Amino acid sequence: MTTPSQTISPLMLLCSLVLSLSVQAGTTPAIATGKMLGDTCASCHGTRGKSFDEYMPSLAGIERKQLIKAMQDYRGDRRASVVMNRIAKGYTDPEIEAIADYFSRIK
Amino acid sequence: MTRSTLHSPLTALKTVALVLFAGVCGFAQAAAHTPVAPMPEWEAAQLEEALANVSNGNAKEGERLNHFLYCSACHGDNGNSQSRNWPSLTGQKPDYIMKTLLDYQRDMRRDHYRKAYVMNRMSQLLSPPQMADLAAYYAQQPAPVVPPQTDLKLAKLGARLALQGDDKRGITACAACHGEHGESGITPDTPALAGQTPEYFIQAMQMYKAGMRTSDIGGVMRMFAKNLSDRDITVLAHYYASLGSRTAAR
Amino acid sequence: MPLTRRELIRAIGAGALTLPLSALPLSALAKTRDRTAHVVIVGGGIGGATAAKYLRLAAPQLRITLVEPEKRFMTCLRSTDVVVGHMTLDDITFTYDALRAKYKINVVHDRAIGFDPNAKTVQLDKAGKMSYDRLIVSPGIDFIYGDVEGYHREAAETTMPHAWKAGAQTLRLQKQLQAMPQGGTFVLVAPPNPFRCPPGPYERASLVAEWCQQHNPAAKVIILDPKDAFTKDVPFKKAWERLYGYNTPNSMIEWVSASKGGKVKRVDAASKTIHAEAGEFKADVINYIPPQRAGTLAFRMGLTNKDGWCPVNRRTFESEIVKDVHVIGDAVVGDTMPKSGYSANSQAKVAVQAIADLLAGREPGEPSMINVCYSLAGQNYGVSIADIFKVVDNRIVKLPASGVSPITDSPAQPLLEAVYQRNWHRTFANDCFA
Repeated sequence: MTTPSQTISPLMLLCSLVLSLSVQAGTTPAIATGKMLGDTCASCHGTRGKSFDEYMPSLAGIERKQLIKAMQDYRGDRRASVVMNRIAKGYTDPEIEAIADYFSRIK
Repeated sequence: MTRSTLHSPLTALKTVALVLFAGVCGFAQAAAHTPVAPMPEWEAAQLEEALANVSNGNAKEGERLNHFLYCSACHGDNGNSQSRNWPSLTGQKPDYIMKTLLDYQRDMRRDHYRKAYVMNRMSQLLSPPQMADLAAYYAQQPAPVVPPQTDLKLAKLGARLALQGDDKRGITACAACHGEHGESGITPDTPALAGQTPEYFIQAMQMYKAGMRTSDIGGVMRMFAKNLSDRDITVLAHYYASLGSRTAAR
Repeated sequence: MPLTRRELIRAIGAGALTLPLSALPLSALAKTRDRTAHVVIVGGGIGGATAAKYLRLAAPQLRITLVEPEKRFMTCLRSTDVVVGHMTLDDITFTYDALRAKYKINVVHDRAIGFDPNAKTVQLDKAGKMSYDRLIVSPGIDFIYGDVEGYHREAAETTMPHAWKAGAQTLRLQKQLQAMPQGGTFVLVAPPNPFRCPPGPYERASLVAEWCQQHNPAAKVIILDPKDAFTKDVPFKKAWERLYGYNTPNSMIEWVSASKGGKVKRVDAASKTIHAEAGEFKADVINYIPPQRAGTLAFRMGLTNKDGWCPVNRRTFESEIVKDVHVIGDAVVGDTMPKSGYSANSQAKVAVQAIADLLAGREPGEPSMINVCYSLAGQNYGVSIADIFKVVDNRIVKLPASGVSPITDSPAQPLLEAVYQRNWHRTFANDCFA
């Protein structure tokens, strides 16, 4: 069940399929959906990435590749930040891509 | 160019603007009184003095400060904004950058319709020479890339108003001061607008319109913004955003 | 929308149609005929409010009721800013208006006084019995009194406030600080692990020291601690060095750790004397933060283990003791996850996604959780911790690599952390309540 404005991408479906299969098989590590991961961002960046505040970037509608690059730069300590370089180290590439898919689709 | 040639048109415009503002728009300003707490404003001569040494800025040191003071965390490695909320600084005029930092330091600015807090605090870390260094660094960079939120259909609608204004509604062409391509022009502290984040542009114009932003000299921008509708502001925002660079990598 | 077989069976199994009519308002009955599931959330703090809002976002068709006795909620977050006068209680007070209007949550200001897990009903004080398909309990914490001679509830409410829940005690502590004689001693007794807001005592000591710099420069802040380490202790101590002369004879802050005798044995409220293992401490203000356990509601509902906390399935936050009941927030056994508002918000999102999945007959998805916490070591000096959590073998595991603020030469790091702390409170409250 999703709200009308949230569409499930084929990638997310694939992720959840892979997830359920791997849980059953108990092998490869499962990854959370883009929405689940995106909800962790929302506590600072606003519900569905809409903070619209002077200090906190809105993630809603961000370009997919821009978010991926930013997270990878933070993770590799290639970009100055206060907390994001620490936070980015907690996410794998597939997770970052799922987050980017989620936020880039929100208007 | 020397400082003196830079400053004479600035002074001229300010004088014109002050006269205009007092004579033509004084009544409108009073009539459209908003319940917004007043903020301090610049005296033209005072600003000129404050910006006297901006051309001494060291871009190399500015580049270091951009990272050391985490400016890049929000405004990007080279000044291309990292979010729709914030302005790009890359390619901006040094006088405007330095003036803006002083605006914040002097607590003259609002952001997102409330008293600016982040930039007020951050600007306290800077000495005037460091502001000039940052200004020199951003000015040296290419114009910002077209922001992802730019709507080209809206941009098209904004072109006419930006370039020709609207006589019937008493709207002056933005290009008269900000340049034919949004590259700045009439005075050194007139900002370049090409490639600016549309949501930041809209916010700035709405705050001018509401009298919430008072950092313009002699109320010039407040005066121009007064006659613009919300729709005008939106299409202008997308027009100027669309004039950004299309090639530079983010 | 067609029902799945599982939903149909559950709707019948929930027995909603066999309940006495008096137990259900008519509108609820109509919805029951539509076989929409009813999720009841008890406790309207950060966990409960977030759960209500995010459940609506995840499942637009659900009936959602939030039960909370108070009409307004004050965040413990930033309540120390109230103690030192940077903010007022109004600044940290939020209402349930947006949850009602924007998210169509049935907010009931009432108290849960009974609970029948077999019938799947909660008994409310005024509104009577309410049935649920899934129940979320966000009970918060309560305090353990009586483990130290001379310290009891009455002392907490008068002479030795803990001010560890925002409200009357926050203002009492503020008054006591303001009335402290020049050169006086402010003693903060830190609680043993685990407790709500692990950096909170050290933030409070810092802000009180800063307040004293301005208003009572010869005063001293002493932390008596039953622990030898605390969260963010490295950046906190660095900040104390930079701001309050820590590790010098004139330091405004003294931290007496467990190994230095910081454990309190006895207090005497009348003479404001604290007897710790290190000796006797004469105080002018005592901010005694007692040991903690899950909120009393969790005990009444039989959701707690022998340690006084609520064990849950870490993937769904369903109680390991009572079926169809989920517990979130400070009250749960959170393993490596701290008891913070941020954690409660994150756990709420995981719990409601699991509930939406379970009610729709789906396997709950993989959880991901986070805790980010900024504390003030001074008005313009913040320190933070940021961690991402995964669930492995029913344990909440902190991923390596993240952690506390680095010590850097850049003045922008601590300044921005302080700036973020102030602004974050606003955006975070919006994520929970608006």
